Parts: sequence; structure tokens; C-alpha cells
Amino acid sequence: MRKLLCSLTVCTALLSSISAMASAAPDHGPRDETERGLWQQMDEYERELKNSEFLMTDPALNTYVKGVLCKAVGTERCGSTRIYIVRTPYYNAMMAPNGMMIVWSGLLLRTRNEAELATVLGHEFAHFEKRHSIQMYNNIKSKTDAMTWISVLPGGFLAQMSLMGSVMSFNRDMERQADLVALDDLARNGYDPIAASEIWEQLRAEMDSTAQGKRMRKAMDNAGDFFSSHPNTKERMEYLRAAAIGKRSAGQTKGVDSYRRAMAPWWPQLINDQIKLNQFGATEFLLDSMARGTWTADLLYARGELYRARGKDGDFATAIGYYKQAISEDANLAESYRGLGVSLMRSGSKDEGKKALKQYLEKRPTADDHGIVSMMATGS
Amino acid sequence: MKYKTHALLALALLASLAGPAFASWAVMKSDTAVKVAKGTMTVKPTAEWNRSSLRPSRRSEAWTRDGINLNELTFFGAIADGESILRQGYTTTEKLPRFKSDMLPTDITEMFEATNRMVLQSPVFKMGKVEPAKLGTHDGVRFSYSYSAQAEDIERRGEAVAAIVEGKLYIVNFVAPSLHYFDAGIGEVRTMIDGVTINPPKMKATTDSKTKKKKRSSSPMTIPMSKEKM
Repeated sequence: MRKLLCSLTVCTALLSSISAMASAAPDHGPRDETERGLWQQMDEYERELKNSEFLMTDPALNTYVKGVLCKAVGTERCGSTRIYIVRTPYYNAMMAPNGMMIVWSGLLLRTRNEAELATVLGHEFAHFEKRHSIQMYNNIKSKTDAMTWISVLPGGFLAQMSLMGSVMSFNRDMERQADLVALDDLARNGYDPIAASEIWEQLRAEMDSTAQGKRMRKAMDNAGDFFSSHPNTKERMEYLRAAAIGKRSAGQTKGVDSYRRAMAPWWPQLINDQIKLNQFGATEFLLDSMARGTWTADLLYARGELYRARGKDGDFATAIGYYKQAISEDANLAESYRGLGVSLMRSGSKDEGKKALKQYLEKRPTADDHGIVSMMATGS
Repeated sequence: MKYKTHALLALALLASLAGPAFASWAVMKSDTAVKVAKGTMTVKPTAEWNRSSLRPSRRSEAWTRDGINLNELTFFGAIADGESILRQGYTTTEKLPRFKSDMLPTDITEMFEATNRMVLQSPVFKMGKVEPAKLGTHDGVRFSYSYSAQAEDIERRGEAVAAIVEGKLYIVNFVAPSLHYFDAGIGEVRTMIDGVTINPPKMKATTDSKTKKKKRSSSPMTIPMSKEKM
């Protein structure tokens, strides 16, 4: 069940080692009664997950993500896993011992290229192959009846994950082993291994930006995400960088363009989900990180939305600037006119705001909010 | 678990942490006008409803016909500048969006959506039609939406009408599973919304809430959340 699911980093240990469903390689299968029971629970959870409203089932997206894992670890090995992309705007991935891998949509927003995505997928896969989760499961069982305790916890999946994370995590040797195995796989299969340390730099920077207030840091810990289960990121970043240097070679790629192409249809939804978390600092950092100095219309629009949603003194003026820049980059991005119109009206420029809203309506004549925006654009 | 399916259930969870997870219920008789949300609105149900003693916020109250999980009608009355729709205790992570009296109709719907996404911890929330409407005789905005809560694999639909009257926000919101219950209940709710009377508070809201004594129904029922009156 979901209580046994571990985050890639946290419960992966739990989840990643039991053994084989029909599709898994024989040596991944359960080896005794205890493992068989855990395996069955994972299978049951997987059946539930297949019907989840949170599942992102788009075939192209799923094929792409699975393809990245297969490229990273080899097609002969990746067949033992099944990837599920779950719409949850936090950074994490998890692996169950039965071969079920869960990737949160927030991870797709944060990885900047294919090699970074491959790093995370490969890391989880390594926990799976090395059967780390079953080792952790047995370890926990010997210490406490934690799983029974977890099974009665209230709250949603996120809350349960978080609580699980507080009682179990892979030990440092396991994490290091998974890191280095994944790095070897990446390098051997054509990905630039420097991506492994770069994603840690990115996570560390995001963690710093969100920890500006203690509250924010606590929020991220509560979410049961990557940060709460991957300590010592500086050390990790350093040994990954050192290991990567000897393995870089010509012909390896980061897959920046291919990643952008695959994710392009999903950016608006991923960004919107992030903005609506109401985490201003974290979201601004992410947008800046995604832009890397090149602000596309989508990112400018998102930045406008972020400031408009906060609505503090001066925020509408700032938002207006971003919307106007977005429009100058892409005059057909209708939602920019909507944001611009509302921001102008909120800051006192009613006539100008109405004009922008009318432009939005012209570009989106079938918008769900056409009725109310039309009234706002023509009313007194 | 099923707790964070919607506002009142979340409230039930909070209550359960502090004490027994029981709500008191009072029957709202059909065709009898009743003041709701601390007296800030008057509605006349056309069928019998059950009012919960658990409030999604201090300015609101929740009704159900068949159980909160099956249909929930919530009244939010006189939300003032700087206040959130739901009580902040629903989320320990981020600050819930706050109402501002100069908000436009689309700002209200966006605030509603953001609040729900945060409380439900769910990005699976889709706003549907947003159009001009009346809350009683007052100009407002009607919006429909659908969502799924964390770890609950059913879709719920909602429809609400909101209006700003004398600088304060009023919302009547109906939520039910998409399967059967929403369609079965929304017709009556729309009729009730058409007949809503808004009674703007005469005094400052903070003073008002402290000085007014809580009135209980003459026929309170104390029943477990799982056994609401049918």
C-alpha cells in the first residue's frame, strides 16, 4: 500500500528491493514470505494508482520518460520497471520493490535536461537493483513496528510520505552506491555525467532560496520531498563532480533540446501548478533557473502571474511589465492579455485594462471565463 | 485516507486531533428562512438539510443532506479585507490567499482555486465556466469547477456564487461527487442562491463575532460524522 511506498530517497529502500512481477527480472523477485507480502502490497497499490485521477497518462510523455530511463540503464534492464507520472508539484521520485517507479510532475519542472532526469531515474533504479529497500525494510522491522504505525496515519499521500521519511531513509553508503552506479550508467550510455552534480547544485540553490524563511524550509520538509530525504547535498555534489570528471567523453550529451521539446506541451500546466502553491520565493527561483537568462514568453507570463497572485504593493506594476514583455515575445499568448488587463484594472488604469481584456477575449473566444471577463471589459 | 476531500472534512480532521471527531447537527427545515454564516445571509431551503457545528472558518457554516462526503453546501459571509476564505489552520505550509475588497470577479475565483489547491494538497483542480450571476439581488460571479483530493480517486464537482457587498465577500458553494450527487443537488441549491438575502454586518466584524452569542438550533443532533441524517 501507499504506506510502504518510499520516496526515491527515503523509502526507496523499502520499495526497491523485493522482486519480480511477471515483467521483472527473476533476481528482482521476492525471496521469502516477508518480501512476498510486501511485494503483494506494492502490487495492490499499483493497481490503485492506475486508476488515480492524479496520473498523467499522456502516451507521448510516458514514452519519453521511460525512454530516458532505458537509455540511461539500457533497454535490457529497464524492462523490469513501470513508470507512473503523478501530478504532484513537488520534486520527487520513488521506486517500489515490485518495479513500480513513481515520478512526481514537480521533478519534470525542475530537471533542465535529459541527463538530469536520467540521473534521478537512474538513481532510483540503482536502489531497486541493489535491493536497498528490502534491506531497509528488514532493518526497520527489527527496530520498531513502524509500518504498522504508518498504516494508521491519517492524511493524504503526501503526508504519509513525509512521515515515512521521518522514520526511514537509506543509509549514506546506499545513497552513495546508488549515486555512483547511476553515474556509471549515464556515462556509459551517452549522457554527460556532470549532470549528476549539477542537479544537486540546482537543488541546493533551490533549498537555499526557499529556506530564506524557516517556514518555507519547514514546508518543503513537510511535503516529503527530495530535500527532506537527501541530506549532505554539498558532499554529494562534490563526490559526484569528482567521479564525473574521469568519465566525461566526446559524444556524451545533456539532451537539452530534446528535453525541452518533450516538455514544451507540459510547461504551462507544470508552471501553473507550481505558481498556485503560493510559494513565491521558490517559484521565482525556479522560473529564473528555467530561464537561465533567456526569458521566453511562457516564462515571462508565468512571472507576471506570480507577482499578480501575490498582489503586494508594487506587484501589479511589476506584473504589468512582465506581461508586456511576454506579449512582445509572443503576441498570440492570450493569457498574457488577461493578466495584463486585470493587473492594469487593479492598479487603477481601468480603460487600458479593459482594452487588454478585450484583446484576450478576441484571442480566446471560447474561454471558460469569457462571460465574466466580457462583463469586466465592458462594465462601469 | 479521506480526510482532505474538502473543507469540512479537513476541519473534522483537525477536530479529531484535538478531541472526538463528532459534529453536532441541527436540522434546517424546508421552506423556513434561516440566517446563516453568523447571520450575514438569510436562505430558505426547499428541502430539509443538516447544519454541522464544525465551521470551515469563523465566518462560515456547512450544510449537508446525505453526508458531507456526498453533498456539502457552504456559506461564507462577510469575509473582510485581509482574511482568507478558510481558516489558516488547514495548511501549515503556506499562507492562504487573502481577500481584498478591490478584487475583481476573476480575482475571487483565482483566490478560491488557490485556497482549495493548498488545502486539498491537490493540483487536480480545474476551474470551469465563470460568468456573471446574482447572489440574491447582488451582482456577483458564478463559477463551476472539478477536482480530486489526494489519495481519493473520485472526482468532485462544485459550483459557487460569490459577490462583494459593501466591501465584504460572500460565497455560497456546493460540492458533491460528479457521479450522481452533483446533478441531483445543484438544482435546489441554485434556487436557494437566487433567494439569498445578504445582511451586511452593522458593526465591525471582529467586535460582532465576540459580542454575539452563539445560537443553537432547537433540535440539535449529536451524531458521528459517518452517520449523518439522510
